[in-house]
This record gives sequence, structure tokens and C-alpha cells, in this order.
Amino acid sequence: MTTITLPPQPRVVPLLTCQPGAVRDCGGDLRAASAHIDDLGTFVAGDARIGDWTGRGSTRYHQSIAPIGHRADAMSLALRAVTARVDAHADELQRLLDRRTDLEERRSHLAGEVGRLRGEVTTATEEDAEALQAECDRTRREVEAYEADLTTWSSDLAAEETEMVAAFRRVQDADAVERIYGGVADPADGALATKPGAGASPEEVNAWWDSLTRAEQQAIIGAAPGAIGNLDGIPAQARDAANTVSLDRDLADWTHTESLGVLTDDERTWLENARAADEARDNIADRVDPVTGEPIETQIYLYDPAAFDGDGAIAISAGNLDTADNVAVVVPGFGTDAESAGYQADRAATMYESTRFLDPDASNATMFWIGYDAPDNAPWDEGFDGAGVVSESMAAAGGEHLADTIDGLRASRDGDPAHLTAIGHSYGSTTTGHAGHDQGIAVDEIVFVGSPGVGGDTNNAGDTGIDPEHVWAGANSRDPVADLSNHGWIHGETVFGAGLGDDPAEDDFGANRFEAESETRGGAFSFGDHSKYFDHDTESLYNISQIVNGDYDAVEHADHVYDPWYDGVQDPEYDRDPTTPATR
Amino acid sequence: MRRFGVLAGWLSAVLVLGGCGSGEDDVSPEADSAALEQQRDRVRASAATLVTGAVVALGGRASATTGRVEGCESASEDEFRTFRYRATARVDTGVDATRPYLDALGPVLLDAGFADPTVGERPGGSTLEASDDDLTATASELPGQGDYVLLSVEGPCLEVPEADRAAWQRRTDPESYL
Amino acid sequence: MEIVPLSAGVASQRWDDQHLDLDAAAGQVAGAGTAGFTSAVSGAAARFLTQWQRHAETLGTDAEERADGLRVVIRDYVSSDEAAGLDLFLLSTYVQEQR
Repeated sequence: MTTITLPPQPRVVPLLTCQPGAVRDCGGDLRAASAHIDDLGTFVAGDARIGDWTGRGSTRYHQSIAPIGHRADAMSLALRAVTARVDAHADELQRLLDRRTDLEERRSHLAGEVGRLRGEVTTATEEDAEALQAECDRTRREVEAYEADLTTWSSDLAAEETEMVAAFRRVQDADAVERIYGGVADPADGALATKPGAGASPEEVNAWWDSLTRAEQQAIIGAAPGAIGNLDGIPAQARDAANTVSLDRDLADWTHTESLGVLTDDERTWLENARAADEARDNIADRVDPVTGEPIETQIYLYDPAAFDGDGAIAISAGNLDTADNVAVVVPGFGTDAESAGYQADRAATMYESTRFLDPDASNATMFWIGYDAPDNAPWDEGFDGAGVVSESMAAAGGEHLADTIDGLRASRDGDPAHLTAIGHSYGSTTTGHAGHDQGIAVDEIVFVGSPGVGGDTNNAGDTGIDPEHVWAGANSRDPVADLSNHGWIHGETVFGAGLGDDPAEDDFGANRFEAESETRGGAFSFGDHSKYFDHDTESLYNISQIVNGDYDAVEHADHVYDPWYDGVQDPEYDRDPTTPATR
Repeated sequence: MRRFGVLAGWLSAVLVLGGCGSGEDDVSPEADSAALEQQRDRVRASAATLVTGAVVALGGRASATTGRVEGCESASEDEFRTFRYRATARVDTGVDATRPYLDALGPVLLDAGFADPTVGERPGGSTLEASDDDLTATASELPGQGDYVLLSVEGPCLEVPEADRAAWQRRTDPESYL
Repeated sequence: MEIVPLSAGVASQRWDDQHLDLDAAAGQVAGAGTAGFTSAVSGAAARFLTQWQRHAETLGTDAEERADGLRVVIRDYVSSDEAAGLDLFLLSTYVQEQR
């Protein structure tokens, strides 16, 4: 009788109870706190000094503040170092969790194999013995390899935990902070001293950033996030890290001040803008990628809650702007300011979902860009105010900002350039038109939707500065704002000098018009139809997404608006039954 | 076909449209946030049953098991008129699961109370869709992307009172429904 | 008596702002959760956060003391017989803590 040696049962993988995301959040709180402490050091070295005060009182005062600055600088460095370790810990925990999942699957498979072999042994004949033993030996080797990997995993986990605990304990006490970091130069200071001055091109800024060590980059993000958060030429990932520090710090500051009842009016406005940015970030992160099923990555590309006299500037992307194959920048219009960031984030997330759904093999990023001072008075809320709304001056200024943003996106990317689309909605299309005509924005596609006119000097698609084949227009036949643009040869501009420019959906303009009707459109003009271009399962979102993805053949074209001399403006889309193409 | 009069220039449009007043769509008298709240509870409960069944059927593990309120139809530049609740999940399949994974999910959908599973297509893959009264469940498989299926359960778009829109838009629901 | 310039009043308010900011930072540290760490690490993390909350509060208190100190100097100066100058009225508005 032949004896068969069975393989052993594989050991169970120990539980690993942790939440890398929560650890990362903890790091974020510490980073924001370190930025506060760093601010104190900067304050003591600068504004706290009273240069025009002389005498003994002054001497005593300045002598008393110097140690505070020294302590703040050391504490800031110490806290930043711990924060960096916490971030690394979160990453390592995620890797350990992933490795554990693989180990668990291997163990489950091996346990099944061992069970099966044990069953077969009980019924095996002498003739089966040799083959069965070979199979048992092979499984034994697999179990041994598994056991070795499990041991490595356990020791890696223990080493990681030990390092994290040591990092916490190393600078727990103030004495230790002073001993290790007292008088140590902040790497951020030296790096910032070499930063290109105002007026530097995004390429120069990018070259400077690339010249820094990772430690210097991290130091700037923690100590001086405002120096790079909104600086064109800095990669989106670094801008996001810096703006996250700024946003979290602002929220903590002003919320605390509000709780004490001493918030100023300006601070209240800024706090509302910061809360809107926070809501926008959450709105995107809360959604899931329709291809991977995982949360959508967000990047805060622009954050300035006090910009434009308190209207604020916020731009947040759904997707990674540094690496995406296709990047879309959505420029909103009438009535948009930082407080609308939450809704604009929903739009960006929706477009991200649609572009990914329609082309799962391409990576995408969609950014809403509240980066210019848009007209405050939305016609549907407050009625038309000809004097305030009709002016193109805000669009012209916004076009310059938009062009700078596009240049920054281009310059900060390594590797292949993105297929980049600027999408102007409502007054944002006027702004985008100016960015094209006045600034020659470096985009591959321009999309105008719900346009009240694309600027007085942009008379045809070629005036946008890009190939007219890549200029697109969407206009819902019930959208009254799209009807405000100039048509034919006699219109507000020619008669009164009024208006925001030509209709990009008209035949004379020469853009590609795509279908943009909505199944829920009204029977006549309705301002509700001005806002549906980015809703799921609409013709508009479907077609814009195909353009963003560069899938031109999939775009459903529409006949142009025209304005015959013998009759009023004609829209062939008016009588067509709308469709509901799937966008998710 | 006709959009506007021959002299429909900017200023005349201003006069006409200014008379339109608010751009808000009328809110139905029956609009009620309680219905959306109930939809949330039903969707989460259904999703929990469905995902649990899928994990068993595919020998896999679930992740990203969360839900959220989503805007459907926009009302203006900063708010939605209607909302729905949508719960999603990713289920990575076990080593013994075989394609097409959706074949194993028909019975799971039925067990979770969804009727008439129907096969469909989506870019890069296929779907299995079924309904339970007004709730819709969808399972997706994208062979080129990896060994997993995506699951979602959602309700119909519901109108909510204008005063409640901002709160629904802000609302997050990060807790897993499992 | 030495002349105390208006900029001393401005500085006192900025110290108050620093105090508020550092209290907020202390709150952030205190609010940083330890639930995500493994049980082997969470104890050290909690202890670290408690200590650093105190460190931040101490810095905040130092900032408040500098603000209070400047206000004492300003108060003594504006109430003295030697006080003079165009900025005297404006300087007196800094005698009381605004926030």
C-alpha cells in the first residue's frame, strides 16, 4: 500500500482593521494645523515687527516675540514631518490591505485544493497514487510559497506600525521639538526664494517646480500653500494638495471665529465661499466612476474665496487633470459665483460620468471653472438688467483668465498633451469666445451651448482661432437665452450696438451644430431649458461628451438656425422630437 | 420652426423676456421631500440585498457600497428641480467565477425582488436590467476593464419643494448601506 | 515717555487674529480622528494629538498675551500727559480688544 503525503492547510490571514482614507484625513487636519503654526512664524518675522516704534518698550516687545517665532518655526517643521509620515502610512496601509486581499484569495483557493485532495485520497486506487502524490507535492509548494508571503506581509505590517508609532513619539513633547527642529532652516524658504517672479510664464513656473526636490515641494505645500495653489504652471496634483491645505485651514479658522461671534462681514462671505468649495469637493468625491465603480478623483485647481470682491474663484475637477487623455473645462455664465460651486460640481461630475461611460478606454477629467467675474444678475431670477448683463467687458476679462488657465494646464503636464475642450455655457460662451478671439486659447475643441452671443468680434467659427471643424454649438430651441444672440444682418448690434455677439448655432457662423433638445423642454421659451444642457440622458450631454472624447462620428448633428430676409429666425430643431441617449 | 420675430434683436428680447418673470418651472403641489426620503430607504435596502446576493453568487467581495442623492433635471444655474437616490457597488469576482458574470446575477436580481431581468449593451460591455415597482437595478460587466461587475439601484426622479432643493443638493451619504 | 505709534495698535489686532487662528488649529488637531489607524498605532496617535492640541493652545495663549501686552502699552500711553500726535485718537480705538 502506497502512502500519500498530503499538503498542510494554509494558515488563516490575520485581520487588518484600518481605514487608509481616515488616516489620510487625519494627515490633512495635521497639515492644515501646521500651516497655521507656520503662519505664526511668518507673522513674527514680518508683520508683528513694529518698525516705527523705538525705545525700551519696543526693545522689550521685540525681544519677547522672537522666541515665539522660533518655537512656531520648529513646531511647524515637526508637525509637517509627522504629517508626511501619516500620509505615507495611509498609502502603505492601503498596499497592505490590497496584499491581504490577494493573500486571502490565495488561501481560499489553496484551502479548497487541500480539501479536495484529502477527499480524493480516501477514494484513490494504487494506480492513482503517483499522480495524486505529484499533485499533493505541487499544492504543498504553493502552500509553502503562500506561507512565506504571509510571513513577509505580517512583518511588513509590524515594521510599518513601529515606524508610525516612532514618528508620533519622536516629537510628542515640546523639548523634543526644540532639540530636533529648533533653528533648522525651513526647506520651503530656500525653495520659495528661487520662485520665478510675477509675470513668469507657466513654462518657467513649471521648470522651477520640477527643479525642486520632493521635500522642498512638500514643504511649500505645507508652509505656503497660497504661493502655488493658484499658480499656472504648477501641476494639478500639487495645486490640489496646496489648495486643500488652504481650504481646510480657512474652514477651521472662520468656523472657529464664527463660533465666537466675532466674524467680520468679509470673513462671512469668504466662509460661505469656502463652504461652497467644500460642498463641491464632496459632491464629486461622493460619485463613482461608471467604469471602475470607485470614487471619482477630485482636484481643487483654483481656490480663492476672496477673489472678485467676494464673489470668489473656485475650479475643481472630476478626474486627474495631469494625466487624463481628455480634459474638458466648463465655463459657466450668468449668475455664477463661488456659491454656485456645489451645483457646478454636480455638472462636472455628470459630464465626467458621461465621457467615461461613452468611452471606457479613455481617461477623462472635467473641471468646472469659476475663474472669472461673471454677471451677478441671472435673468431668470432677477429679470433683465440691460446695463449690467449686456456688457461684454466681463467676458473679455474672463477670456484672459481662461486663456491663462488653459496655458497653465498645457504647461504643467508631462508626457502626451491632453485632448482639451473648452465648453462655454450661457455668458460663459461669450467668455470662451473672447478667450478664442482675443487670446487664441490653446484648445483642440470649442463648444458653445445656450449662447447669448460669442462676442462682438467673433463673427464666424474661424474667428475663434481654431479650425472651424472643431467649433461646435448646441442650442435648445426653447432656450430664450440662446435666442438673444444676433441673427442675420439686422439685429441689436447693427441697430443699437447692443448684444453679446453672433449666434454660434446659426448657418452663417459656420460651427458644427449638434442636437441639444430636451425631452422635458417646454412648449415655448422657458428659462428652465437654458440649464438642461448638462443633465444626464440628454442629447446635449451625449454630444458634448462625444466631442470631448474626440469621437466626432458619434456626434448627432443638427441643422443650423437661419434668418431669411423675408421672415423671422427659423430653427429646424423646433419641431423635431427630442431623444434621450444614454449617458450613464 | 419659428423662433422669434424678424426684429428679435437683443433689446426687444429683453422687453419680452423680462416680462416672463422668474425662470423657475412651476412646482407641483404634490412635491414632497418625504417621498424622496422614502425612496432613499428603499433603494439602500434593495441595494444591500442585491449586493449581498451578488457577492455570494460570484464568490467575490464588494467595495464602494454607498449611495447618494443626485440631481436629475436642472431648474437654473445653481439648482435642480428633481432628484433621485442612487446606490452603487463594485463586486470583484472570486477566482472560480466565470464569464459572463451577468449570467449568475439573473437569479440574484429575482431573489432581491426585481422582475424581468433584461440583457442590454453599454459601450465596452453588457448590462442586465430589472425593475421592482419604480426602482431600477442594473448590473454591468466590462470585460476589457477587469474581473468585476458594477451594480446600481436607483429610483425615479422626484420633484421636491423649492425650499428643500439646496439641502438635498448638499446632502451626502457616505455610510455604506451594507 | 516714548511715543507709541499707530502701528502698535494694528499689530495688537494681528496678534488677536493669530490667537484665533491657533485656537482653530488646536481644534483641528483635537478633531483629527484616530479611528483609521490600527490598534497598534491608535494609542500613540491619540496621545500625540492630545499633546499637540496643547502645544497649539499654548502658542495661541502666547499670541493673546502679546496682544494684551501691546494694549497695556497703548492704554498707558494714551492716558499719559505726554501723549501727543495726530494718531492719538486712532490709537485710542485699539485700547479695547475687538475680538
